[in-house]
Amino acid sequence: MTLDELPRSPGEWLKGNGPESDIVICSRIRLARNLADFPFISKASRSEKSEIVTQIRESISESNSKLNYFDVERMSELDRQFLVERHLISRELKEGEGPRGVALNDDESASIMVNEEDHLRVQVMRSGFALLQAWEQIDDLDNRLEEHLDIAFSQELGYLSACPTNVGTGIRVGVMLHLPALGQTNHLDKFFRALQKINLSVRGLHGEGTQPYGDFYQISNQQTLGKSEPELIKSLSDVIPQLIEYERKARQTLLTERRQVLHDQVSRAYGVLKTAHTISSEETMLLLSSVRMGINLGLIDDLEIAQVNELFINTQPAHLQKIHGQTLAVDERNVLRASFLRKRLTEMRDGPPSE
Amino acid sequence: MASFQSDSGNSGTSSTSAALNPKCTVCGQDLMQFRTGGRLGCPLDYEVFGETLTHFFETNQSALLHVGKWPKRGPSRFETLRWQAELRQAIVSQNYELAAQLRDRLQERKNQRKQRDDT
Ligand SMILES: [Zn+2]
Repeated sequence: MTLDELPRSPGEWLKGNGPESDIVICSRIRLARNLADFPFISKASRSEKSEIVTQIRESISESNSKLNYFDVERMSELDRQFLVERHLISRELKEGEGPRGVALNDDESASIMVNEEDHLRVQVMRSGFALLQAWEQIDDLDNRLEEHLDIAFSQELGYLSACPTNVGTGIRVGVMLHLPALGQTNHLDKFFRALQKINLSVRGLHGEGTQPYGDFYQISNQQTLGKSEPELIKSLSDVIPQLIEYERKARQTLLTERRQVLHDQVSRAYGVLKTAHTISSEETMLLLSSVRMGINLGLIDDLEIAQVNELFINTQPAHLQKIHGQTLAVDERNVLRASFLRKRLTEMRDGPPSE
Repeated sequence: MASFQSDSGNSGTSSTSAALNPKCTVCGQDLMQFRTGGRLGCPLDYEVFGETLTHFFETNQSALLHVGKWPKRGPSRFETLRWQAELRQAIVSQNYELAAQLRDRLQERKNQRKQRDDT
């Protein structure tokens, strides 16, 4: 498998199905692991990093994990950005140095970053609110790998990670939410402060240090020590139904009290996407966020969530350039993005053009 | 965000720099580097910076002990890392007999792993 063979489909996390997928975009779990025989990444030499890659690649094939490995060090800048946009690698791995890579399964639900902050960052993403399924999948993958690797683990502190904030279970459990209606109320800050009080963090679409954009938010645990994996998963999944309910109520309130304004906003967003001749990725995301809410509220009936998700991913800069087959300057991309949107939205409404 | 800045209270027992700024003999990371960068250099740093980290875990994790899954192979002894550090030290102090022994041990461990992986 090569990167160009990765399906043009949105990948597991943007499939748009799964429980509560009108609000919960995806569920994600990652585990931080390190090999016991090597220093952490900041103190590892180039040859040690290569040896780490070799051992991990061997464990992947010996455990029959059905993952394909990609060498990020030798990859083009465009391909690296492409993987970041698909949430398959982090910006840290993209910008890192030395031997490093990522192993992916065919449906892109599982990935293993090698030599990121830790030697291994195992990740599973599932569409919708599906943390337990994600846990079962990642626990199984982790068990398979650990049969073939000496993992750095202490009886007292558990899995030892390069940053002490991950020590213990090494687990980060997260859900990505679309909260456009709550975003229009003043209540969101209050909710987020309450979440922070119970050790949950709230971040934007692209993780650590990014601003919320297009009303997409990631909520995840911060504690990793002193609680088991299922307990940490439960502490997150207990609060999500409440947030879902608040968002649904806020949507209904908007519908009854401000139906015309809302319908206008959604229709204008849809209209701009269908007719623009140049458009930035930021504006595209904001407008698609409105359209997504419009579909969920029944204000748009000729488009599906899965199709909106496809547009979300394929209008990102690296995706657009890969589809086009060459690298482009920002201005050229904005023109290409607009024509791509016009073409796809027509095809989606009318079906693909006949031969 | 997590902070590993000094809490001033628990490091002043000795005036020697080793006590104020403990350093890992395996990876060379010292406490000052860790406080600046926030990342550890090797798994043994959890022992070397134990005092600082215990304080950090109490404040930020409200816990000091792991509860959760264990890897199939159980806790690590970090022999390879320790022997590699001892080997470097033996070479510096020109103790070639010890160096040869450590090299043998490291090679033996490597062979064991190869065998286990091949079966
Ligand atoms: Zn160390």
